[in-house]
Amino acid sequence: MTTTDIDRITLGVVWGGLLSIADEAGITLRRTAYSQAVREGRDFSAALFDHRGRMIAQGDFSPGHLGSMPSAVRNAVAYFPPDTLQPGDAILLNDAHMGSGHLPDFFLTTPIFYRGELIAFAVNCAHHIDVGGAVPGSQAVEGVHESYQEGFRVLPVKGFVGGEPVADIHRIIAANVRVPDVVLGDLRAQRNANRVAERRIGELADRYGLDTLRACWEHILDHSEREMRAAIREIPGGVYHAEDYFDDCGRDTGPIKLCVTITVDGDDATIDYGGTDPQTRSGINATMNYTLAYSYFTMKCVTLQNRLPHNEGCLRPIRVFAPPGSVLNAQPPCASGARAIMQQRIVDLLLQAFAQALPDRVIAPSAHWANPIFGGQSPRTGRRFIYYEIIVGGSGARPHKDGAEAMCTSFNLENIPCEVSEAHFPVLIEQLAFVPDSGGAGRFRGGCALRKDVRMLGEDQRLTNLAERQRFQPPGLFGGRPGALGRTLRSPGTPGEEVLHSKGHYDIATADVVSFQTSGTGGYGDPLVRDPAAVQRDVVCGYVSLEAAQREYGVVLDPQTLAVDEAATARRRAELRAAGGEGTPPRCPLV
Amino acid sequence: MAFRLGFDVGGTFTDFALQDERTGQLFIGKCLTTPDDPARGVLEGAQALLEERGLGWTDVHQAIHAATLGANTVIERKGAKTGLITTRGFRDVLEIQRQLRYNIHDLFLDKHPPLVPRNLIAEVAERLWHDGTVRQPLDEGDVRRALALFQADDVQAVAVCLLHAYANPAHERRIGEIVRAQAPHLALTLASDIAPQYREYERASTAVVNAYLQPLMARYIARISDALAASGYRGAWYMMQANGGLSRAALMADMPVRSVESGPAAGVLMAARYGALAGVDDLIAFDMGGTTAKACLIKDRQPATVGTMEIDRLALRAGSGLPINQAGMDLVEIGAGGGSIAHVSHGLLQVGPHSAGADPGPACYGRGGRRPTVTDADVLLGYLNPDYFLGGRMHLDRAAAEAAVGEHVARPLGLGLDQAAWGIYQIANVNMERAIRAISVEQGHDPRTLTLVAFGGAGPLHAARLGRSLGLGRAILPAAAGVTSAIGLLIADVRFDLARTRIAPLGDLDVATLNAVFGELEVQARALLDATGIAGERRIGRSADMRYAGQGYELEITLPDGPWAEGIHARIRAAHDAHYAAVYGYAEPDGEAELVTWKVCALCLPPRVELPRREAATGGLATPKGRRRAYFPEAGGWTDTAIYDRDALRPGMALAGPAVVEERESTTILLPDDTAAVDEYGSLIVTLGGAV
Repeated sequence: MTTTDIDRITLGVVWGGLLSIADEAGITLRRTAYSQAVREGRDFSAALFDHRGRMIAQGDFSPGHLGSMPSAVRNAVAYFPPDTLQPGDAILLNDAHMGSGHLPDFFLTTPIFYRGELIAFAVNCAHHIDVGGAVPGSQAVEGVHESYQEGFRVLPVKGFVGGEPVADIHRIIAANVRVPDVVLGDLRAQRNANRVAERRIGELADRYGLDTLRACWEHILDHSEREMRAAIREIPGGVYHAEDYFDDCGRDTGPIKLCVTITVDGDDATIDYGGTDPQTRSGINATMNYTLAYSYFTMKCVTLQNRLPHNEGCLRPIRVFAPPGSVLNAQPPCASGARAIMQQRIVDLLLQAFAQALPDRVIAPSAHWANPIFGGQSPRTGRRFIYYEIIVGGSGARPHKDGAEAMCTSFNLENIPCEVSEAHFPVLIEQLAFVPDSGGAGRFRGGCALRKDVRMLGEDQRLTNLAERQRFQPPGLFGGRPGALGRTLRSPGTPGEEVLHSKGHYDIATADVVSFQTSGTGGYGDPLVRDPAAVQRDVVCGYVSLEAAQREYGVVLDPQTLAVDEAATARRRAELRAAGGEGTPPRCPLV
Repeated sequence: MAFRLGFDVGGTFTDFALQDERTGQLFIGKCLTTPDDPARGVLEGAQALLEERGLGWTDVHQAIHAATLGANTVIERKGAKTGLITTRGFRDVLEIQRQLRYNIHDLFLDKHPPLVPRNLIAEVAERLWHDGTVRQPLDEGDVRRALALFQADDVQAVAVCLLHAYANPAHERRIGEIVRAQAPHLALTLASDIAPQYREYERASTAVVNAYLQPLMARYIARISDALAASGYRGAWYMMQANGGLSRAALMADMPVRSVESGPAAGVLMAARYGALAGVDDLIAFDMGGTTAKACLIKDRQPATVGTMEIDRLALRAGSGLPINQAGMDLVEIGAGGGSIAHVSHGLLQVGPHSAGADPGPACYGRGGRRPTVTDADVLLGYLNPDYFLGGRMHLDRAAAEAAVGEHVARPLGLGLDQAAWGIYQIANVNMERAIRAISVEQGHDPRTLTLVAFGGAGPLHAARLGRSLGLGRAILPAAAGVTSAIGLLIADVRFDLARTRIAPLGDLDVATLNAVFGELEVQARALLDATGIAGERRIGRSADMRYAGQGYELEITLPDGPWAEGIHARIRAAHDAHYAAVYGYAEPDGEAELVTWKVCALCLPPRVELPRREAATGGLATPKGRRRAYFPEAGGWTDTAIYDRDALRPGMALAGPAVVEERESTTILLPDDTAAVDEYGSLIVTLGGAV
């Protein structure tokens, strides 16, 4: 059967069906998981591959995992060729170079059989809360320089046979992690997800027949490639370059330079990270799979957006190069546990380059999220705990509107409700709030920084911090100002207030408060042309102070009534314009 | 006293269904909604319907009501100015939300703008631990300062949501006392009353939506109560809830969040009934009124439901709306109705989401509307008969429709009038098609196995073409489609769903505790049933959201009826493990089962009244009452078309498209190659032509 024999309704139903199966697998994983990272934070992904290992559908989950899945499936099948697989098998791996670039991400690949024939693979990836190694949570930046320090590594093995855990394998895992119940529970949740996908694919095959299903897969991939090529053709041809600096990789280290050159030629696009600094002797290193994942993700954001579901066909027109041995293509046995903190910078770097070609399709650089992890002993349960936290700031300002407050651009997670954290861990959240005057000024304002203050009530506690944009502000675009820097403080607002390094680890005494503050995000366009009514609204609601309204936007408000003083505003704006030079120069040519 | 009256107040029309319980006979009516005072339209319309039958209010013993008021008020942001009181440090929870990207590749997506702006969120010093014990007592001075802030800003309603108050409502209740004492005129919602379930954003969102609707809903309910009393009505009156069950109206004034989508819920119930009468189990209920269109999937006769509803979704995706902790039907709703305004933006024709509503209404209503709407297009295409709208009680002004479509669509796009009208019709259909796809095809449900049940005033005008483009084979077009939701009110049960979060391992709960907690909910539920005053068979069921200790999500497990005796633990455990394995593939034999949210569902099943059957005809083809030109591109454009009188159609008759079937409250279009048969309830069972 050829693709032309497939009627459009069947194609639509099969495609919609595959996407909803991927979603349902993800929902199953989340709902049966034990760790906060998976069940609340959504730090997992699920997708479907055909029998040849091509990704045909993915759920709306984490781009970093999804972009790495083709490699994970390829490696799983290399170790376990189809004739060695049985229904109910599931192949586990967490190697950083086969998977998504750090050991906590476990990939589970399950062959799907239909009437005795291997027809597809259900694949999912979950971030495990601990895989052993130097620090609780296994995401150290400092003090690690090869992956052997970061925890245990699994090359492809059968983690489940006949749907049941392989006891020997699970026992090895249990012996090597700090919270075995949680890790093994999440691993079983991964098995459940693939089981549900297998069942649903079988139903699709029952309904439409295997030949039709396979013909649909071909059509989906070809159609997606055609659409992606058409979208690339809409980008003005040319060469676009950007650079940005990553803060550092631990105390007493310097900035890390990231460079990209994007070449758009007809319906092909090449993304080249030449000029990027070498890999580091720390947990900050991206493997090629990870860099690929975020390159594909950003490319889709500025082209097809959500108009077409993502699959392997969308990737065909895009080539990505990163110099081997660079921090964006780190080589074994590099450490890479903390690489997740790099994702937002890869996206921002690419968007800054695309800003020159597609000023209306990009947004200014966003806040980095913070992903600190506390380990310790819970007085409530008498057991070890690992408290995984994720604090997400806003998105950068956009060509026609402000940046979204508290909305990630590089990841698809949900925050962890304070009530859930407190019910499970010896913690008390003291505050979760926006930081005024932190959003980059602009015709459209960047989002505010987000602050979360956590009082730690356990014993024998240790924090592995992981945050960014504490030295290099997220720049604005087209005259917009940068967002405010982020920071991490111990005992904020007290005489003992202490700045903690964004990538340091620290002992935390019982009842210590640690405050995590993300950066603000970049503004878009000249703040002196921002609608005074919008500035007024920001002041009324407390996003911007009265003083900053004058200083950054040249908008003068009556301190009592907060009414706009139009004459004073006109004068103030004229002064600021005459003074010129204030604030940062445009990062990109105005168009 | 043998009549029951259902009335459904929509954005554009108020619909009535009156049933004689002795014979089952139904009488229906429809009038324009009176947005300035909806009670006026209700009273006048009901009065007219009763008088037509020579009846008075004393003949009615039950009045049942549904309204889209709640959802529309949120969508149009027309609720009360609301303030929120929350725990110090957590002012921004309402705006931070859960941070989900409902479209991952869209850099321009927005989250839902909160109903309470940041400057009207006041923090108070107080703090509970997760188990409900007090860490820091409430600072009552903060509460008074919050009230002063609210009063300076003319706030009309206050929501209170404190961290962990689901486990101990003491601080919220104390704040409630202070608010009632100091500012008795303010509407008040305590989150611990309305949604005592954990996860602070969803609970706060529920409380805020409730407070936002309270003043309006309280006024509205009081107004209708007064008007009914003044008219001589002596019975009780009831409201539909989002869960598809009835409640006494007075009970809903304080919990309007329970009735947000009550009109559509009644329509979905009725669609399922029509499906059952026609022997069809898998349906798409499609309701197109004046302001919005809604759709709901029905599988195996059961409407799709959700545990946490979302209202006012920004996209056809979960996570893009305002969550409310309230079980309801899984409806998709878009701004596409007969009154949706067509406009040209960036050279593209767009329809909706703004609606001309009832006032001024579409241009053709001749009430001052100048903007072209879908209804105006329907007139120009020959689908609507200007002289037979609402059975001729309202005349449609064709010239006004031509002027509006001409000026705002045809001229800017350089199109002829026909093409412009056809464009409006098609764009409205495409929007609705996308919404229906989101609940069917995109979930992997094959449209060829589904039957469309179309209702609402504009539903049957668009159903045949919509069904065709979705690839559906069949449609059921019930008689009196214009008032289907009102009829649905007459078949609903009384139903209350109560829930409380109390997290505990099953093994730690003795039988007495289990019975005490469920028993308390059952007492509340029985009191609510008693308060309705409706007699009928009662069913009180227990269920619990359960999980294995350490997990974050639960499955709802149906449990045996109480009270329980020793030995119940093993049955609960077995029920949980079995359901878990059925849904997720494998149970966790070593896990510890845990109860999270305890639920009681109380039903009262009033005696069921059958729908009236029509007298069968001797069969054969129906006879048209006339002919006129209508626009069908597949037949070459303007086509001489048979016009049928719906009331003259008898069971057993058949008709073929192209055709227009007119009845007082709605008009049905059949396309060329469609064929229809009339069933014994007067529904048209349409075999759609052109189906793949």
